Amino acid sequence: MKRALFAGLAVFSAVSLAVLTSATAALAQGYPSKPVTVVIPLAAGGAVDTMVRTMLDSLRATLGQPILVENMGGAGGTTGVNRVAKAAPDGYTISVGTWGTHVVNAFVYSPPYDLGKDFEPVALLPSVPHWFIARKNLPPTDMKGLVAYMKENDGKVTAASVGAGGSSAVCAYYLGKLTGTKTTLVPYRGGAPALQDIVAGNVDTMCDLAANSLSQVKAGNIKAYAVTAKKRWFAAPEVPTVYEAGAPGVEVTNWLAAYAPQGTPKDVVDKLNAAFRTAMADPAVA
Amino acid sequence: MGLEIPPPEQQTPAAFAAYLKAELDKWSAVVRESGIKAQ
Repeated sequence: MKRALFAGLAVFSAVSLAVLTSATAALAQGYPSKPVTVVIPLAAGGAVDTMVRTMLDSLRATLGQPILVENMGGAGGTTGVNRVAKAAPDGYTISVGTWGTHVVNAFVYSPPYDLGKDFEPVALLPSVPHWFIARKNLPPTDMKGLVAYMKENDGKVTAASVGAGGSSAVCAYYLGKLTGTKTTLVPYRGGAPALQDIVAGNVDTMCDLAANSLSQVKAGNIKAYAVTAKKRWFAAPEVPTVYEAGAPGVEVTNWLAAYAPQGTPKDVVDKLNAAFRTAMADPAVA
Repeated sequence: MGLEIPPPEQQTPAAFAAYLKAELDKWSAVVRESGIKAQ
């Protein structure tokens, strides 16, 4: 009797598992059957927005569905990130954001989501390092000199930041923490006005997203001391890394990534991951 | 745009999940210690 009962339970369990597995597989097999919305928690027109849009053709071709981009800035991007945290976990609403919007701002703000629990990580996307830039007439000629200059002028050297928090502020703080220096943060409404003021000589330094200020460095309007990465940035190989330049460990990379709401089936996450990987293989993206 | 593509071994969901956890652990400590808050 017991043996028959156990055998019955085993069959029931196996059937249940098979039904669940086939339901998930059916969702993944049919996915996507309608447009996929990518929420970018930043204003349109910025570097992240541009990067995602360069991937659209490839994503559309791989997934076989239109890709709708929804820019939802505000509150450091936490509004847009929260929209995806609360979306149905079906793969039709996903988010692409940066280290700043998805990591730093989770602690600078007090968002109504838990980044570690409310999302399924889909894919790590391309990254851009930060670098330490300065007005061109700031006395130090290299990173070691900048650190020494900051120590001599304790707290008097200014550092531009985008907003009160944000990646540039955290990067400036991190430099201070690892080198025993201190700067005075000068918050700006955006990266463009901050850069303008460095070019104009109104603020001393900035830990900027390297892509933002590359053209001004190349033009000689400002100087770049060091890239906050282990290896040199291919777009400006003449600029040393923080390890080479005397500020080891000050590593700050603004990477992009894609996320789906927690509970999105693994097969759907895998399909999205494959689509992003195909897009990254496109030379137009880098 | 000067973007750097992550190496293939970092492109899987599992590798990214591990990287994300490490980044959250690292920067939560740094940001909290810094006292930086949105205004």
